[in-house]
Amino acid sequence: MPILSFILKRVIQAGFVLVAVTLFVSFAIRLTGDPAVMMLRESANVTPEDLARIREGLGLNRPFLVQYGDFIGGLLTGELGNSFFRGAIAPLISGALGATLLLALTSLAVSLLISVPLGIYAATHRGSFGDQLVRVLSLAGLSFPNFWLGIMLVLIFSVTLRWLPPSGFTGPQSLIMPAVTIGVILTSTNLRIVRTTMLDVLSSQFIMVARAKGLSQTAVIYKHALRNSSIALVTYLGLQFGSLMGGLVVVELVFNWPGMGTLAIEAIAQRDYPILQTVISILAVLIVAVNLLVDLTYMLLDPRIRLE
Amino acid sequence: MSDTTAPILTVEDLSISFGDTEAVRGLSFEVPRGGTLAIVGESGSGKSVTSMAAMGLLKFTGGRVTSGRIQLHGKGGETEITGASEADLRRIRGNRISMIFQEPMTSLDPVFTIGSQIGEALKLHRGLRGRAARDEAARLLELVRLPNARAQLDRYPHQLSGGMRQRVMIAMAVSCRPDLLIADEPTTALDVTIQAQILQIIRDMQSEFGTSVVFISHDMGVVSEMADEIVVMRHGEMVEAGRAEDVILRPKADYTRALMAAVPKIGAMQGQENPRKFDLPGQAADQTDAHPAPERTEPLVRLDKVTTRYDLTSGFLGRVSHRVHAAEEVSFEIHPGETLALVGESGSGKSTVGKTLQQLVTPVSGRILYRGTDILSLDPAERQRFKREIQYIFQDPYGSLNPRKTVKQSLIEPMATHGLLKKADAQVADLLTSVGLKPEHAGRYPHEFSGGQRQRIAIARALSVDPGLIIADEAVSALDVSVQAQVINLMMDIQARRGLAYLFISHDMAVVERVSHRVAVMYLGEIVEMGTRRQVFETPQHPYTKRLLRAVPVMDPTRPPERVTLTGDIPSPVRPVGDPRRSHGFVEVAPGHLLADNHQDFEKYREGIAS
Repeated sequence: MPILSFILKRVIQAGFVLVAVTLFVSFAIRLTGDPAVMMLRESANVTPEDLARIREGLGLNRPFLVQYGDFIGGLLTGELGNSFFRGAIAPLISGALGATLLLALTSLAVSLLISVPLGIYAATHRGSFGDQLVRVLSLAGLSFPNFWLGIMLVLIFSVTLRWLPPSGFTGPQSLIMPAVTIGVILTSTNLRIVRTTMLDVLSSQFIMVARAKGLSQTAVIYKHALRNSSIALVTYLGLQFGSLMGGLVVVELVFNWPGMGTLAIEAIAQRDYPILQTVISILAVLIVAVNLLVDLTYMLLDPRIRLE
Repeated sequence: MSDTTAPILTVEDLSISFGDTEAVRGLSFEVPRGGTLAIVGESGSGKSVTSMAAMGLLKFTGGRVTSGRIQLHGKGGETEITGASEADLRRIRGNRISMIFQEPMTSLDPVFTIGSQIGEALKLHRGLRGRAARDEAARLLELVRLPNARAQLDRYPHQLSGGMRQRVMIAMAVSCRPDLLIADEPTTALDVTIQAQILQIIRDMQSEFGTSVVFISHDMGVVSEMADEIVVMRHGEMVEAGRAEDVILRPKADYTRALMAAVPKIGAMQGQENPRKFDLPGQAADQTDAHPAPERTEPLVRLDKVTTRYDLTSGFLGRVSHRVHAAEEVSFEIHPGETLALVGESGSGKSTVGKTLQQLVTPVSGRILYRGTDILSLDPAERQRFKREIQYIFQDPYGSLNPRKTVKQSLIEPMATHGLLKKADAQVADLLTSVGLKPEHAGRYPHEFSGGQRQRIAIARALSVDPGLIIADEAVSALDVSVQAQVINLMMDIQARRGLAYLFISHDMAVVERVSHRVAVMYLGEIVEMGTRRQVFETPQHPYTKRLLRAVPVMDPTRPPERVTLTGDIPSPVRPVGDPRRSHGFVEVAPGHLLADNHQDFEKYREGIAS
């Protein structure tokens, strides 16, 4: 049962990662300020008794580990409880998570649809004008800060041309600009990965052997070379997923996209511990799960790993 | 129908370029129908490039044919390869001309099964699919004598050894009964006993299908066993061509003669008491007693039952489930000024013994004594001192020098580490001169040197700290024969001058016969036979030693190749934890000639481990 034992091992590792992440987040956010003070900042005549009452109401007067234990218990049972300011957390999260995943998967799909064929083209036409162009474009894409690109898109397509809504989520057309903004960055790096790994694989001896069998260029590239380079691409996509989540926070903010990033930023501004803890924990679970998925994909793609 | 005596392939005035560099110039030869033509040459001679051109694969390597033509006169009629369209070439490749490559470990696609990779060619050229393709693939694997042929179809390349993969390659290459089979150094990466089997299979396939063969090799022994005709190439040009017997026994060109002189020939040292340098043109012939065996008084190094194992873990908790038994109770002595050769095939543990001696790996038990001091019992600071005394030369002269350091920097580093640096420039100049390089080479970088020169630099680096022993781990294996002979001569000169001892680790029996005073034969981590060079080579006792010697190709075209029994792979030195190991002792069959006392059970033992 090597696969089962592998998964079990990974799940246990993931458990440790999640405990560390949640513990750190819960602890760190409590160092940034007192929500009771934040709540009453605008009010006059605040007495220490008022603050204490609010803290008690929010359960903040209990020891840290008790609060943490409650939070973890809630996560495990799915009872996410209430936020300090915005009512029940569960519906907030489910809306935001859906929006974030929609944006992430769309931009990932866009980037793969562009980068895989272009990367293969560049690798098989190495040194040609097309290859040079692909490399210049991908460098240009890498050089844009994503928030700047987002602002430029808003200026052009919303402010000047008035084709697309500048922010929020009001229908499919709202998805275009944020997805393109993230997609451009992803495409630039994926393009380079596809090109480099393809070049690497194409120089292998087994590719020459495949040609020596009389296989066509199409069979050599799409059967032998692509399958082998997909192993490296999947690795990279797994690693990329973490930074994709980070990048999403910024882009969501630029487009006021109702996702996990926006939710987290708002929660930080209000010192809404429960929301922030939950958002970050769920993102952590997501990243760990994606990487587990990547490892399992490896096994499918590469018999050397599957049969070890 | 073409004439039965006409050649199968004609190459006329062929020139090939890579960019502005000409790789082959004005080459012409004919491959006899049903026969074997060998193209012989050292690196850069253009022999592999020529074979790629014959396959029409040149453009994928970045080269192009600038003049001349290659014509195939096959069953399907005349085809001019040099002018054919890619679509025509695809019908020829793998079908009428097929190829076996040098490196079996990287020749098969790692993500597809053996069956599907053989099936590709069958489907493409013979229209076989599904069950029919599978049956035919299994039949082909049986033909190349792969054990459990049908079961191998569903396995992946990484589950097969190098020798087995090369058999799969051969099965794939003959799958469409080609007119011509090109074998580009097909056995260079393989152990000598496996090489003998692969050569046998190629000969069998040739008689089975009547295929003509172009056999590309740098190894004259192999060529002599395989070729009917030989083309000798150098720097892209043909130096000499003719019947194999003529070229080998009566070479006309100076280059061919020099090449033959540099080829280590097994049995050439028969009756010679002492090692001898190669007689190279332009070098004074060696005196018979120039490299005598030293007096055996106090040993320089003594290994006492050294055992080195590597743990392999598996399962959920990473428990140690298997161990690589790399070296088991290895004992030997090396005296000052002596060369002890450690021979064996892959997995025999010979490199592990070298690394253990150099303290690169720690043994699980045993003692290493240097001039009577037990190195392993010392504290780390004192041990450091002994690292100076034993130096290492690695196989790959390209990987063992730091590309960003000049020769001088590489030579100074070990001297500085051991506090031996006095007048850097003078010391570096001395070292370079002593290995036949010039003092002005000191400021250059490794990429400016050839493989042989780099190996000289590696020797200079080892000498820089004035060691008592140098471990040469396959130090000349990656070099062309003419360069190999020069480096070996250099090493023997240095030994005579400085009284150095060598532990010469090698798989090449002919080289070992040339250089060593004493020889230890290793098999699966154990020494099975040890004695003076003459004892081991002239009166081998252990069945494994005998087999090893028999497998070495002999450069004698008048002798028909011996039929090789296909015994399969060398068993693995990996054993489960707790596998009871029968440790063996030694019997002394002659003074100083030790033989494993379980040698009679060798075949049983071998099979026991293999199963």
